[in-house]
Amino acid sequence: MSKPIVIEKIKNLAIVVLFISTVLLLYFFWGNSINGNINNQNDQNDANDRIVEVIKPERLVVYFGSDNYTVIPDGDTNIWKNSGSEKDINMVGELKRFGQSDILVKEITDKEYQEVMKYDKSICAEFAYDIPLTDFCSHFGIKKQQSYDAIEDVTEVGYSTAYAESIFIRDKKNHKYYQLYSDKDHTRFKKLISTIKTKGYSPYYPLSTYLGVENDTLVPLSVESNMRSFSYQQDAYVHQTEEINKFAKSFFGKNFDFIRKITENDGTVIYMYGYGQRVLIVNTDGSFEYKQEQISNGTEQSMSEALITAVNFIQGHGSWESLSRASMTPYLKNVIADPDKKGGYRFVFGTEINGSRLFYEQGNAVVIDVSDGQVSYYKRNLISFDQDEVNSLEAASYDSAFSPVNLIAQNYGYIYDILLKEGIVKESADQPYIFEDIAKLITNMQTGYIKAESKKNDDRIKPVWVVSISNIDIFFDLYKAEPIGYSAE
Amino acid sequence: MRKLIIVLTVALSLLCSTVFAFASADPAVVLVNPVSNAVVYSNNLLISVKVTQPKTIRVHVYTEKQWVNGKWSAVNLDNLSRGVSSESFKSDPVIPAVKFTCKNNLSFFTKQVNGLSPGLYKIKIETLNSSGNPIHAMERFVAIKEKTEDQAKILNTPQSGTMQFLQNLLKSIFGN
Repeated sequence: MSKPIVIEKIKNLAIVVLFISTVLLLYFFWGNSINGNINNQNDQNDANDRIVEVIKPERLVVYFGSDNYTVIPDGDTNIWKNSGSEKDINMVGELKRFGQSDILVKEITDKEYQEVMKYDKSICAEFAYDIPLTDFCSHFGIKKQQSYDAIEDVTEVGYSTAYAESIFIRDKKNHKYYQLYSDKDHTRFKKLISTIKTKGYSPYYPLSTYLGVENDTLVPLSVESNMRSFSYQQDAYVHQTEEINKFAKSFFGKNFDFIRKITENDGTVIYMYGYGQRVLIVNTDGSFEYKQEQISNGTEQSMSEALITAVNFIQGHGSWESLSRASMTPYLKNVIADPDKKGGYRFVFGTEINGSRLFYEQGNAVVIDVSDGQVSYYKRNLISFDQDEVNSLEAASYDSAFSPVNLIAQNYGYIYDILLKEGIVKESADQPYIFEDIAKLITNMQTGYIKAESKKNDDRIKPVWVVSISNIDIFFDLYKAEPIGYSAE
Repeated sequence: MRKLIIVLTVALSLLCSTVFAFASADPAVVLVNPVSNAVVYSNNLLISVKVTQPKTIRVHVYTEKQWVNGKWSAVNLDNLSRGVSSESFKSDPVIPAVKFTCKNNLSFFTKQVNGLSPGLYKIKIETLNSSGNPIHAMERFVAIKEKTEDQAKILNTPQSGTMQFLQNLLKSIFGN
């Protein structure tokens, strides 16, 4: 074989090898890229699912007409949102359906909004915070339309049979109300109201009806409850080194070997990276605090994006379970924009145990600050308990809770003292009217569990009535109406 | 509608004033709801009584009947304005009388009475002594009516979608 032919064959072979290499390289790069996109999409969907799970209305107010109301606490998620099956009727599903038609927006007055929601039948989801409309639409899969541009935030969203083709939005922050009307009737909302009526929820009346004072706050006539007190433990105790180290590694990762561990005289354990760029504090009360030095990178996030950052961070650092795997259902309790005048958001999360909210006399379950796309502060103060014990206690019979109206009558002096101490009211010379004055101020009454100060309450979580006035929650034994304590935020 | 409510209110006031002539009310017992001479558009009624001294009360709810065409039937509220006397009424209990004891200086008795049909109802509250005998009594009348007429629409009827769309479009082009 002559030399030129050999060279030609080597060239051909090189071309074939190069071609195969190109194909293989393209396969590896594009393949990874395609998989990456799918993974990113899945991650985004997972994050959105987690957010939809935590953004829940504080309550659903249902008006059946003729001054008959009921209030559904957020624990009953089936009315707000459920499996997503076409047959199931729930608020989120119907809002999605409503959002598919062409929508026009009209601003209405406060008085008109109140009248519409008291006309015949209505259902209204009330949130404890304002949600930017864009975020609200994207989280709940509602088609965002140009006509929505006038609306900034959503604090309440409702439907009234007065206008079967409309839904109504309240933007509490900007004191605005809107009617969104489509070109067809949405009667499935009406079916939802009828379904709720057949479920036999407790009747609610405005406080004015019971007490003869000016106050529209809805309070149940009576409540049957299966909540019982149960024992709990701290999420962690400082001597549980193995569990705590495992948790600490989730913050410091590979750098864990370079972490300084300091034990304070009172037992507090501090894990520190560098000169305090990242610090994890394990408090003696079982709570954890993580602080991270903020590096400004000019990343401005919307509330929704910051919430995704927060939820993903929590998911990767302890999740919603205590270290001993006791499971609680989270909900977004409050959102504070620009909490320390450094931009960003503070998200406060609460937890539910078997659908009942767990209140804290001091602090919250989870607080997390996000700014510039980073978490700068994270505090978790979860509890650990035996889920089977709680389930078996709640499986027992239902008992009548103390009459909510008589709870106020019996404890108005105690409530007055707290309001005086917190500067909500001034000392009244008009003693005979203190009851009326206190009754006028009440903004909510609900049931739940309380994590009270352990010294007074034997390390037990107790069922309570929660009387809210302004930003103060006052706790009373659910069945005896004895005062337990209060929290002020 | 407004006229009917005025007529009913006047008629119920007359009925109550007759009652006050022979029954002394206990100043420590106040019927908060329903308010005096109320007209209620519902098939249920919330009774709320405020008691401001330690004592026992007994609450009765009656439906008032009148003799019409040879039988006792629900009071026709429209006839109240024609000077019908409450003395010709017969009171039938709607629920068994309910006792409530206030052990402090402020308590509320609350009860929802369900399944009421249109007509005239009487709420009687007695204060009992230690032997269980009434020493004070008060009576209030309340009319239950059916919501028959259509309420006026609260908001202006929105224009048709196309019209509104065009209007918005023109506004966006030419301004307001």
